[in-house]
Amino acid sequence: MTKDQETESGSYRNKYDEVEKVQIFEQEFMPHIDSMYNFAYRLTFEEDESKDLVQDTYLKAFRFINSFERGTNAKAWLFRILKNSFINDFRKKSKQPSKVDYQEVENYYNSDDVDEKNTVDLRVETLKDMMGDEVTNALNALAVDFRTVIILCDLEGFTYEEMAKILDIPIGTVRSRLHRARNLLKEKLSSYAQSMGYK
Amino acid sequence: MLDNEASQDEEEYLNSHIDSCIVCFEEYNLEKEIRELLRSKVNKHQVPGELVTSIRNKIIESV
Ligand SMILES: [Zn+2]
Repeated sequence: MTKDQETESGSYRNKYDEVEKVQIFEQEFMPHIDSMYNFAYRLTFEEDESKDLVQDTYLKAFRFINSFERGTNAKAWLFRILKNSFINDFRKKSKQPSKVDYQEVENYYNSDDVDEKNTVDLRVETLKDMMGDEVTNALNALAVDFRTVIILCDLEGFTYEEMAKILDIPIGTVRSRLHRARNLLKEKLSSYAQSMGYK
Repeated sequence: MLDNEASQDEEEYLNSHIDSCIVCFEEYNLEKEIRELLRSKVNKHQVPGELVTSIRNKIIESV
């Protein structure tokens, strides 16, 4: 697999030499480490797990750097690797398999009232009074699939198309998942607001 | 529309609709505010310096 790469098969057209690899790594990958670490933290909620996940992702990214096209969206490429590592390696290892998450997701996907009107009573003024921890807790209380689309869209500013690639789902699913995620978040925020006596 | 994912026609329609429909107007503002809230208030974590060092060392070793 190593020496055959020099063949003219075309499958390794963008093969980089060692210097280029390190250059790409430093210039295109490392600048995203802050976002990557925060994404990992919002998935795992743990510092050690996040560190492992990010390191794992960067080592994979370097190992498979030939499948990265220079000048394309490195951040989306890295996010996709991290998300897959999380699903394949980390979620399996975790002591609490996220059964509940899936249940919640299933229930939502199977519910008939797709376009249920917003019944949540939440006021803009109430939101303005909320503290960082309350907002963070509301986000963290969402099932991982819903949490992920909010992170990608609202915190990281990815487009629907980029999200579809990162998550390996159709763009229509991105749209509907995001819609439900936002409704769920509204519910969480609203119940936080109530329990904090904002209303 | 909030995500800049609507076509120009859709955008125009939604804008004129929001101007006249209080329900959608309120809904839109609420969602906008929630996004602001997420961006400004969700806790951010500082990347541990040793993580960056460790990654670089492992890359250098592998080259
Ligand atoms: Zn309306």
